[in-house]
Amino acid sequence: MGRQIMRSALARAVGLGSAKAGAEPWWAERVSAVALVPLMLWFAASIIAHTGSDYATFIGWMRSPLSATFMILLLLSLFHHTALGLQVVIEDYVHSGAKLAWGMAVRLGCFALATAGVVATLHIAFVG
Amino acid sequence: MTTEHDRPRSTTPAGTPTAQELKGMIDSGRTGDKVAFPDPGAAPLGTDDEAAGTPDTPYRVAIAMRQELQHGLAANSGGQSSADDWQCATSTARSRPKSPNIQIYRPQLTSVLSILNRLTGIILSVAAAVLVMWLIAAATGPQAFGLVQGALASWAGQTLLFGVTFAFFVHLCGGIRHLVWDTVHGFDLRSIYISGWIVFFASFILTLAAWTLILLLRA
Repeated sequence: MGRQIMRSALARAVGLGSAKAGAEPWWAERVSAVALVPLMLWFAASIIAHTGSDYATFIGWMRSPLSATFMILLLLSLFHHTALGLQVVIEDYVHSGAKLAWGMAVRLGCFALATAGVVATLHIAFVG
Repeated sequence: MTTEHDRPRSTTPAGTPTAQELKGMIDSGRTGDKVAFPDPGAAPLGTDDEAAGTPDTPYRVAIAMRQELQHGLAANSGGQSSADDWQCATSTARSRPKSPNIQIYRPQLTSVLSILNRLTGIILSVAAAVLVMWLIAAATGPQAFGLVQGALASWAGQTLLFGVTFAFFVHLCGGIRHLVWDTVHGFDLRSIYISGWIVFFASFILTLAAWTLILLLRA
């Protein structure tokens, strides 16, 4: 039989001090959720209001500084929230070595999508 | 396999096993779900009942012992001697059901909403990627935008959009419920069920309201 660790997990952790950052992802998930409530409702209402609009009307709306600002805020909080949420799902259900790869893929994917979305929004706002 | 192992082994006379005996068997690794190691608190097995003055009857202890030992022996490939049992039992983990046991528990409003909150979160993650593609199409020009809009306007697109709308409202309402819980409010069972039903019905009503509005504007 291999070497058995007789000390409990608690005994090994006691005295080492807290990492002080344990609640950060939890808190960030809440902050982004609070931001997303008005932003998503604004987005849903705007999309419904543009039912049947043609391309020019839609782009005209997106070009206004207010819409572009809200859209960028929406994208940032949406993908921040998505990355945090999916991270928890991965931590809970993926137990193999794929856990790290999935975590990295989610983080990088969300970063890429948020950036692409922001660039597209800025392109619409400044170039048309 | 019909060997003497099938019968609960007992050192007490007249086949009246005690909880103490069964606990000893589990502790020594004979039931196959634990390494042989003495830990006094790991298997209270009936000691609470004894302390309360209502010990298990020998009959019930015998049933428990039979159950435990059968599982342990089923886990190994039919040991010949008790020494074999011992070794096999300690090396082969018994396949007990693992938490959260969703295959055992009856679905409840609370558990269903908890699962839905995760599921809708995953669905909305995919929808968020579609949102970015839609923005890129809009930035690219009328042709690309028309292509994406056309796909979203198809029956499949509209059905998916309806589903995403419902997922959005479930996640929104469920998320607000979670934010309220984070303020340490609404944790008693009655409030949990009331807020649960509110989330359930509000999601339906908001989805139907949104789509009624869309269809009215289209007409």
